[in-house]
Amino acid sequence: MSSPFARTALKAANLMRAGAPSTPKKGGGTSLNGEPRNDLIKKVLFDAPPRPPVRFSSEDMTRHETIERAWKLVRQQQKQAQEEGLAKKFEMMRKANAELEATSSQLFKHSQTKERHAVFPRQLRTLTDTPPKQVWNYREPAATPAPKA
Amino acid sequence: MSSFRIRSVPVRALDLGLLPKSSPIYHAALQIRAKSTASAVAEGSHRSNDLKKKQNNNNHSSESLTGNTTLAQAPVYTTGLSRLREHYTTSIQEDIMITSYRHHHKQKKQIPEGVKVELKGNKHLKPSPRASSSTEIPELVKIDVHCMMKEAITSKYNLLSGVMAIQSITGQTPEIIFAKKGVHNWKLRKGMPIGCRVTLKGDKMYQFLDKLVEVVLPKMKEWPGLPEGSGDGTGNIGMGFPPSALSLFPEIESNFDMYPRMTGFDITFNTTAYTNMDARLLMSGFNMPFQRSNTGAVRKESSAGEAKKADDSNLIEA
Repeated sequence: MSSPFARTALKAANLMRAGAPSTPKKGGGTSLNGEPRNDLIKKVLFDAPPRPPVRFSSEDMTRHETIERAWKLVRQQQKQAQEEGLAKKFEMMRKANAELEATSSQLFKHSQTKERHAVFPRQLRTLTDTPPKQVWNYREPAATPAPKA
Repeated sequence: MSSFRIRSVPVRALDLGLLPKSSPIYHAALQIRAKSTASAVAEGSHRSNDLKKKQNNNNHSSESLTGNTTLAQAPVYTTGLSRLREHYTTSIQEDIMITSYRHHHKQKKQIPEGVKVELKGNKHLKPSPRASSSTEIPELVKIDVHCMMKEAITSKYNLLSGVMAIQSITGQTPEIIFAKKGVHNWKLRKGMPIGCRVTLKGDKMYQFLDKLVEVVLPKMKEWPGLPEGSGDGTGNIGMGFPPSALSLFPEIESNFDMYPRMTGFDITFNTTAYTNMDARLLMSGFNMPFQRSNTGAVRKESSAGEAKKADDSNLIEA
């Protein structure tokens, strides 16, 4: 499978296969509710042995802590920068609205009425690492938005 | 002959494993190291005491001979990219802030604390929306995936299939839901295991939503999209899936035969929006399709010149 979720699919499959007994039981094991697959699922969900605890030396511990704190710091800085940008844009929006209200009350009222079912366009594409197979054709007029296949 | 002197590095090279020096984590770690060394010099053995405390706490289970410490269950941060989270922060967050901006805040009647208000019917009080601000922007908080299986009434082992399916889909073990009270007509007794639920937050949530929107929903036959007016009134959107939808997930598609029973499930998107409008706007930003009525299309064409003829039911005063 070439899908980006192939890894999770394989993981699920491996989990199920790992839970299966290597040698078949003699004399017929108790299959829950007459379904041998339930036995396997129960084993995978509840009877799987827990992972052994990770043991760190004191050096490794300081190293791990430093990395964790550094990553937290990076995220904090990114978040702060982002929030600053948002605050600036919000302030511009507020000023523009205040100016419009002072200029013309009718236009301001018109600007404040919102469409109840306003949504992003269906053609909106989320960012991807690689470009799509079908490049967007700017020349052709978009007749009806085709459903994503 | 000019001597060639190698300048000594002022900061000791940090052994951060395979971390490249161009990464922001490396520089952040340098900052922390500089601060910690400064504080260590000032406070003496304060920091080492903290480390010792940690070791003592963890030594309940591990041997203290080697001085090794077991790692406590810390929150795991993925340093990999979360596609939809990035999409939200870079592409749609600002647009949502601007689109849902309301210049004058309609203050609803505030009920003083301690006063119990009973509404007619089974209605409940809704949280009143707050004024627009740059800090309160509609955002996706969590996704609840819930599955209730009627077959679990006859035998509780029928629930295992649903639990496994939901675990495969979401990557997180669901909790089993027991009946709060019995229903005689369905032969349901109180305390019976009847369903399972998992709450997804953070990266797992965005990954699940990504899967849904890119892989599962396009494959669903004759699904027109979420209803135009969907929402629970407080900014959350729910949707249900038939059992056939379970086979569309890539994790279950690969080993379809391992699941004895295919079950339907429902999903709730919990957002920080206060109104249905904002919640729908947010979800559409994640490529969640919504149905559109024909009057909307007509209105768009005529709104260029004839603003007065606009359909007033679809426009609301902000």
